[in-house]
Amino acid sequence: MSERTRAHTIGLTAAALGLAAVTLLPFATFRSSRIQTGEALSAFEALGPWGVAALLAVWLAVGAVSLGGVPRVPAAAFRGALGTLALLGTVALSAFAVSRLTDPSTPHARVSLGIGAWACIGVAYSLVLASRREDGLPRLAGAALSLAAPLGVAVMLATGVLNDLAIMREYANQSDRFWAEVAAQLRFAGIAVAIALVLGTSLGVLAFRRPRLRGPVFAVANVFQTIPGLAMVGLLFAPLSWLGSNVPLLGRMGVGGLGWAPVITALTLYALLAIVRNTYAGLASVPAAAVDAGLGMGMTEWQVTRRVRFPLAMPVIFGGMRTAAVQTLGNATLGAFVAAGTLGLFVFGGLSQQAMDLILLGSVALVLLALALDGVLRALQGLGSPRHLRGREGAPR
Amino acid sequence: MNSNATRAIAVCLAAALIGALAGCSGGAEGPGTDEPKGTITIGSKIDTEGELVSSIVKLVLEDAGYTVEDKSQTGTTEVVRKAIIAGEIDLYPEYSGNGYWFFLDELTDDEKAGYNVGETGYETTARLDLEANGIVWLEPARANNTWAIAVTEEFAQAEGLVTMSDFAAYVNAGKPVKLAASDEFFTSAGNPEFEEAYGYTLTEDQKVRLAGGNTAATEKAVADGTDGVNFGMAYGTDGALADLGLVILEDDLGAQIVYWPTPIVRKDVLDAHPEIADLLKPVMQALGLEELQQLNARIQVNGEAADDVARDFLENGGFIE
Amino acid sequence: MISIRNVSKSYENAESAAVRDLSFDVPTGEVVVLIGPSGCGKSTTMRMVNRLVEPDAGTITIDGQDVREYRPEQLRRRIGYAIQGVGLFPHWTVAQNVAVVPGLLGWERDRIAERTTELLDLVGLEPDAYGGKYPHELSGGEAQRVGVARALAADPPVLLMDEPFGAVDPLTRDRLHVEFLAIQDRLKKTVMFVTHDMDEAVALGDRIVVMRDGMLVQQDTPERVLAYPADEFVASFVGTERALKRLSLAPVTEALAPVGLAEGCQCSVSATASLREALARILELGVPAIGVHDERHRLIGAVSVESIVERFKRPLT
Repeated sequence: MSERTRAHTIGLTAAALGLAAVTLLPFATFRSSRIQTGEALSAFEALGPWGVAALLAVWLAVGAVSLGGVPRVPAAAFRGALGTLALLGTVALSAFAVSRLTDPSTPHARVSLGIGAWACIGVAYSLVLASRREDGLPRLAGAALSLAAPLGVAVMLATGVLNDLAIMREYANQSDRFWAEVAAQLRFAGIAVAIALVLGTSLGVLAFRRPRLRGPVFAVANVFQTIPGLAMVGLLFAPLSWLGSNVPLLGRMGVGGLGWAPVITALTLYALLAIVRNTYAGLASVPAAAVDAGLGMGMTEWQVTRRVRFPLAMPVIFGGMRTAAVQTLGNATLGAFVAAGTLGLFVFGGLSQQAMDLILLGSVALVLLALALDGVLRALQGLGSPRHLRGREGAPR
Repeated sequence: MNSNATRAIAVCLAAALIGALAGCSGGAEGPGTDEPKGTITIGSKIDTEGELVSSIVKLVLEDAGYTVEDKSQTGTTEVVRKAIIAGEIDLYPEYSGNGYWFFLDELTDDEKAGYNVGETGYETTARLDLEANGIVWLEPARANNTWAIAVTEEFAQAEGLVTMSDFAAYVNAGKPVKLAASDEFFTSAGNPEFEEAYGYTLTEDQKVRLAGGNTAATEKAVADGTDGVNFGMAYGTDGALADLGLVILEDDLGAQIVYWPTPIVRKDVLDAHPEIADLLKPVMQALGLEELQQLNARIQVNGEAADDVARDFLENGGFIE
Repeated sequence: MISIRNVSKSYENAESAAVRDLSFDVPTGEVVVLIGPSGCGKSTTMRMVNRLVEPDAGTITIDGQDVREYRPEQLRRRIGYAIQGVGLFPHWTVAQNVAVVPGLLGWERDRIAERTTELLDLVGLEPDAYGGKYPHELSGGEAQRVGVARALAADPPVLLMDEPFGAVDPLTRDRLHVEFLAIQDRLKKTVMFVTHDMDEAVALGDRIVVMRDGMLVQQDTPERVLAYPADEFVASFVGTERALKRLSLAPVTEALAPVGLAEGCQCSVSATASLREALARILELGVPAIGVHDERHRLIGAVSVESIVERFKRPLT
C-alpha cells in the first residue's frame, strides 16, 4: 500500500523556496510611525538566532521527508503537517518579532510582515494543498490538513496573540468600520451575483434558443467587461442621480449616483459575462441525441428541459456562477469610489495616507474572503457533483 | 436524480445565504427612518482633513438629534461638487480658496487679488456659490491649508532655508532641485503663484510629477529622498510633517491663495434646518491651524479613526456630551 | 399496422419536397425497412409517425387511429424509439435510462425494476453488472443494446428505429442483427426501420421500401428487390453483388442434390447454412460438390455449383 518513491519534486522545491525566503528575503519591516517607509529586517535581525533556527529546521525537515526512500502516503501527510507548522510558526514568530523590536517608549512604532514572511506563508500553504491531494490519503486527513492552518491562524487572531502586528493595529483602530465594510462587500457581491444569475441565465437561454441573438447578447455582455470600474461608476452617476431625484419610489430606496445603486449596477453588469457564457455553453453541451431521444420517447418539452437539459447543463453553469461570485467579490471594492464603503475604503484610504499596513488590511482581508468563498463554492460543487462526471474529467473534489 | 436535487438545493442555499445578507442591512443604505429632526447626508473628499472635518460635523449634528448619513470619502473634488449640486449629498467640507478656481471666469481682478486674504476670498466664494448653485458657506475654520513647499529639517538647516524667498535664492543660485508635487500644483495652482511672486522658474527635469493631489505621497518622497527629491508639495495643516521630520518654507510674501476649510451646505437643506449654522459656528471657530495639524497627525500618524479623534476634540471643547 | 397515406412534407428553404405523396403500410408484426440515399426522406417519414415532424398533407394511422388524435407525448410513449446516436442520458444509469418510458407512464417501482432486468437480459447485458453503469462506461455496442432495451421498455406494439446499429463496427453490427432477429422472432413487434445500408435491409427486413427524392420507388420483399429491381436507380443502389446477396437469403436445403455427388469429399456444411456460405466453402475447397448434414451430422444431401445455379434460375413466386 505505501510504496517507496523517488524524491518528491514539489516537496524539495518548497523546501528550497522556504529556506531561500527565510535566509535571503526581508522577514519584517520596522517603521517608526505608520506613515514612514520603514526599514527592512532580515529574519535574523527580526527573530534572533533561535527563531531563525526554528524556521530553518522546519524547512529542512520538509526537504528531508521529500528525499527518496520514504513511504509515499505517510510522507505526504508529514509534508502537509510540516507545511502547516511552517505557516503557523511564521505567523507566531512574527508576533514574537514585534515584542522583540518594540518597547513602550515607542508607542507609534509598527512592525509588519516582510516579503520573506509572506513568501514563507504562501509556500507553506501551497505545500499543504499539494500534500492533501496525494492519492491514497484518506479524505478526512486531507480535509484536516487544509483546515488546520487557517484554523490555527484564526485561533491566534482570536486570542489576541497577533494584536501587536502592524496590520492588526490598523484593524484595532477601525474594528467596527472593518466588519461593517466586510459585510458591505459581501452584501453587494451577493446581491449582484443573485441578480446576475437570474438575468444571465435568462440571457444565456435566450441566446441558445435563438441563435440569431447569440452574437448581440454576447457582444453586450463583453462590452461591459471592457469598461474599467471607475469609469463605469462615473458613467452611471448621471442617470442614477436623475432617477433618484425624479422617481420618488427610487429616491426613497436610496437610488442615486452614489451609494449602493451604482455599485450593484456595475457589479451585476460585470458578472453577466461569465454567467451568460457558461449558461450557453452548458446548454450547448447537452448532447442533441439525448434531447431528441427524450422527446421521441414521450417527454414533454418542459420535462426534457427539467430532467435532461438542466441537470446536464448545471455543472457548467455552476462553474460560471463560481467564477462570477469570486470575481464580483473582488470587484465590490469599487464601492469606495462612490461612498459605499467596502474594503476598498481601507485600500484607497491607505493609499491616500501612504500607510502601507492599512492597504494591507484591506487587501489581505479581501484575498482571504475570496479564497474562503472559492473554497466554499468548490465544496458545494463537489457535493452536488453528478456521479456521471466523477472520476471522468476530474470533477471538483 | 438524487444528486441533481442535492445540487439544486445547494445552489439555492448558497445564493440565498449570500443574498440574505442583503435583507438584513437596508438600514445603512436607505434614507433613515423618520427621526424628529430629519436626515442630513454628509460627504467629503478622500483625504485626512476632509474626513476629520466631516466627522466633526457629523458628530455635532448627531448630538443635536439629527440622523446623519455618512458618505464621507465620497471622491475627488469634481465628484463631490457634482454630488452636492445633484443633491446626492447635503453637506461637505470645502476650501474657501477653491472658489477662485470654480468661478475663475467671472472674477474681476480685484476679486482675484482678494483671495490672498482669507476674509475677502471667503466672502467672494460664498456669494458666488450661493448665486450660482444655491450652496451656502457656513462658518470657516480660520486655518490656512494652502499650498506649501516642504523640506527635511536637516536640509533646511544645512542650506539655511526658512522662507520661500530663501527657496527662490537657492533655485536661482543653480543648486540641485527636485520638487515632487501634483500636476495641478505645477500647472494651475501653487507653483505658478510662487514663481511669479518670488521670481524663479523651475525646469521640467526639476519637477517630479505625481498623480493626484496627495501630499502624503509627496511628503514621503521628500522624507525618504526617493529619486533625489529634496523638495515636496505640502499643505499647511498636514499632520504628517512633524513625524516625517519636515518643515514648511514660509510664504513670506503671501503669494498663495488662502484656503480655509469650511462646511458648505445646500440652501434648501439649511432653510429646512437653520440651526445647523449655529451649531457648527463655535466648533469651526475653535479649529485653528495648530489644532488642525494635531488632529490630522493623530489620524495619519497614529492611525486613529477620524470619528474617535473628532469625538475627543468635541468632548474636550464641550461642544458635545 | 402503420398506414402511411399520401403523406407529404416540405421545408421552407429547401429546393424540393422532403417527402412527396408517400403511401405504404407496415403490416402488424413485420419489419419494414426504409432505405435510400441521404436526403431521400426516409428519416423524415419515420419521424412523422411519432409526430416529431408534422406532415403538410396526408394521414398516418396506427391500427386505424389517426396519430393526430393523440397528444404527441402520449403517442410517443406507446411507440418505441431508437436512434443512431442512441441518445442515452449521460447523467442516468443504464437502469434509469431503460426505465424512462415506464416511469413516464406511471408504472410502479417494482414493476419497472422487474421489467428493466428482463430487458437487459433480452439484449444480452447482464443486469447486475450493467444496471448501475453510466453511459460513458459502455462500449458502442453495449450502448446501442441499451438503446434497444430502452425502446422496448414499455412493451410498445410499434417500434421506430433510425439506424440504431449505425455507430459500431461491422462485426458487432452483424452480431446485433442476429440478436435483433431473435428478439423480433419472440416479440413480433411492428417495426419501421430506417437505414442506408442494403445489407442491413436485406438481413432484417420482411419488406423493403426504397425511397428516392421523397418518393417511393419500390416496395417488396428483399429477395424480389434483389432479383427484380424496379429501375436502374434501385439496381445501382442495391449494388453489383445482388446475386450474392440473394444467395445469402436462401438456405442450402433449397438447392439440395443427391448425396452421391459429394463422393470423395470429407467436407460438409450444416443444413442451416445459406447458399452463399455453401458456395464459399465449395470454392475454398476446390471441390465440385459438398455434403449437407443435419444437426446430428448425418448427411442428408449435397450441394454443388450447378444445383446452386439451378435454384438461382428459378423464378420467385
